[in-house]
Amino acid sequence: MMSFANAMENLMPAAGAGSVGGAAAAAAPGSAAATYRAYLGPMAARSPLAAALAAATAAAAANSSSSSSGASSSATGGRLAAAAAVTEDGREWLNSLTDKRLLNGGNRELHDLVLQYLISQGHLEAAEAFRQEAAERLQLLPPLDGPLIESAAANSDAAELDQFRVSLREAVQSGRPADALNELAAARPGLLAARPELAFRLRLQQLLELVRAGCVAEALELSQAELAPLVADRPHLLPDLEECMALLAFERPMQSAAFGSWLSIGQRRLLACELNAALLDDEASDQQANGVGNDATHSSKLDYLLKLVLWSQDQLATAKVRGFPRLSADSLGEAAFQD
Amino acid sequence: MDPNNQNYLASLYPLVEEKSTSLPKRWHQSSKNKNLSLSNRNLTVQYQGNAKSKDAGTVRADAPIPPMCGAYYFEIRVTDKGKDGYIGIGLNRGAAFKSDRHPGWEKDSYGYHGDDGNAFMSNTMGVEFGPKFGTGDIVGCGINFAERCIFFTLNGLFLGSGPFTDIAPSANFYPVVGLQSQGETVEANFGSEKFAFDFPAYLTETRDRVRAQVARHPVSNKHGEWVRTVDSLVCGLLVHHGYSGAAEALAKSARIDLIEPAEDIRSRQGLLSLLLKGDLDEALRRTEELHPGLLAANPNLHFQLKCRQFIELVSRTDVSSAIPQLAVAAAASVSGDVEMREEGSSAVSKSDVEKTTDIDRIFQLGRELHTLRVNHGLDQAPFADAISLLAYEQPAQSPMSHLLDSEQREPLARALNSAILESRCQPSRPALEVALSQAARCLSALSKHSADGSVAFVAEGTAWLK
Repeated sequence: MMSFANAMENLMPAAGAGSVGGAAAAAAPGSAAATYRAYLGPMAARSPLAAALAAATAAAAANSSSSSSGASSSATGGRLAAAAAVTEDGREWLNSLTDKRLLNGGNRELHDLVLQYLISQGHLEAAEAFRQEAAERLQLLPPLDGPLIESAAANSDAAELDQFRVSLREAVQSGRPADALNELAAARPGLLAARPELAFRLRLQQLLELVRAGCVAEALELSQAELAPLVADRPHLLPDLEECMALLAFERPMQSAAFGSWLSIGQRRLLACELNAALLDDEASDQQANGVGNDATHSSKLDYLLKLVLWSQDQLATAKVRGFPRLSADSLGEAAFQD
Repeated sequence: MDPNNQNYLASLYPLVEEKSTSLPKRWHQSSKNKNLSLSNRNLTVQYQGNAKSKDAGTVRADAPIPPMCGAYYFEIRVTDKGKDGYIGIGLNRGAAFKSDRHPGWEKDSYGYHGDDGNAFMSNTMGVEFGPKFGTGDIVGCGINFAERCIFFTLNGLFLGSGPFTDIAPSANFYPVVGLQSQGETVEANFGSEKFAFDFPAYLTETRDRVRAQVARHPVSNKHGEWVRTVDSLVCGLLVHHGYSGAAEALAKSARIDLIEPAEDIRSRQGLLSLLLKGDLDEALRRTEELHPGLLAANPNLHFQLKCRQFIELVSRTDVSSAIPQLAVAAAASVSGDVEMREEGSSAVSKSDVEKTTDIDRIFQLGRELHTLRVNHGLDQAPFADAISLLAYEQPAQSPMSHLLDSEQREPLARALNSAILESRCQPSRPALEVALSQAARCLSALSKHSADGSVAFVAEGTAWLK
């Protein structure tokens, strides 16, 4: 694993300091001013797409009358040039990433993406702060083009839903999943009834909070009274329950390498997100039932684009393209590329 | 093809650039079987062989189907089923084919025949597939590169793929049609008219399915790892671009730690807004105060900032009265001739007192710039550009007026932002932006190297990333 800057350095040719192309040298750490002119990149001079297409067409024409391409037809994705696997130039690839100057704080699409993420995930205070700060800075008109989450309900209903989402999130993230469960059962009884797995998750989190607090007896009681019935018909949930129960055997469960992650903040965040999604889903299907059509995707567009990174890298690997730097789900956060 | 049709095709296949990649438009004259004749600008095919000929006659289209269509479709209308109605429609992989064999009979060929309604998958033995078809029917054939199947339609109804699944994607598929008895006539529609089948809806449904697959790409999230990653990517972006209120609020509601204290974010953003407003004097002063040594460590950035300072000063000063002297002084600054410079500046100091202080300041700045440039061996261009503004009485109406645009301040603000962050060991580019750039780069590589076609469905709406 290497940081962005290190990857750049590692990919520079070993011979001679002065031989590196302008943009590569400019992107070395410490000379940030060079980014000012860094968009004059090596990409400008040629049109790789045109060149590649020309090569591919020539290869395709050469191959068209041969039957060899039909041989390994099934599993792998097809390639335009049926010959050797393609190898990308890793350094040139990384260079082209730094050359992007479209993505900056003033970019409207990026702004909308962030705002949609904040609203759909229930970070409403942050959304409001962002909306205001951005409006001043980007000179945007306060009302956005079209609703970010489809909600034809009256404003008060939407606000109520929003408050509810925030309240449930805070309950879970503060370690009170039972409160969330009760609130939910009171306000939306049908929701939990239709989602037994969500009910299981809430109870499981309740168990985890008891484990965290060292309340062994109560934890055991909870598992018998509430959790056992929920897994009775759903054996696929059993492994998770067993792992959480296993934590009871440790004096310091959080430090268990195998199961300690159950007690992480991430666990609470995950449940909060699932609750949020269930609420939005429920709202959406209510509206559909009332004849209000919408295609609300409660998962954020940002989430989609980030998965697109991982998906398209896999597609490239399937198409036997080599030599390009990859990000993994773990290394996305640090923008740490691997070869 | 007239312009209207170009638009329809462009709307169906937005990622196919007509100038570099042609779509099939008509039947290919030179590859057709001798028993066939083409007419109507090579859109109509007729079997003309004499009453005794038994051979099938096949013809292919004039171009292969580009996988960047995502999915492609064409139709034929049977205007006359002739004597026996032995008509086949389908696809052939490869420009070369046996023109006396019906679609589907040979290797790499796929067809649906009207006489028996059977499907032929590179085999002379057909399998039951759909209805027979004859005079007046409109039969369609499509290929879905993302979902690797070939499908057929009849009079607007979707017949499905039958056996035509798990088709290896290729950039080499050609539409084909085969006829076999006298008088058979079919007319093709490669998109010059609206199709009988709702192909746009098919494209939309496919797009939704493919995108849903992307959204379901597995990530480890058993303990909320993915959620945390996305949270911190967004927070990192907000911090980088100085949205201190939003960053603080998100850190609170997502339970993450800010990588930079909120007040530092605010002070950084305050500094940048000075720059963005054009108050370079104050911006430079405050940079030196808050981040001593930063400008010294980044001479190029320092130089760019001072050039900007110079431009801002010129833009708000009325230099008209001092132009000749300034021009001399400017030329001297550029060439380094000390005597000329002093002569120029002394000539000015005798003129209008009110204007002198600003003009003095211009000279002083010019000297500072010159020194900076020479000491660090920096590129002349920004300096020469800035100085050249002095040559005009009305800089705002001059050919160099773009320099005065406030938009020019933005790249500088970004560069200063990055420099400050790097000096505090924070990334100079937010990880979220790097990730999104990687997405764009991968998609572009995919469209070059793969005939998979899924790219066409996922890449829509991501043009802004490039």
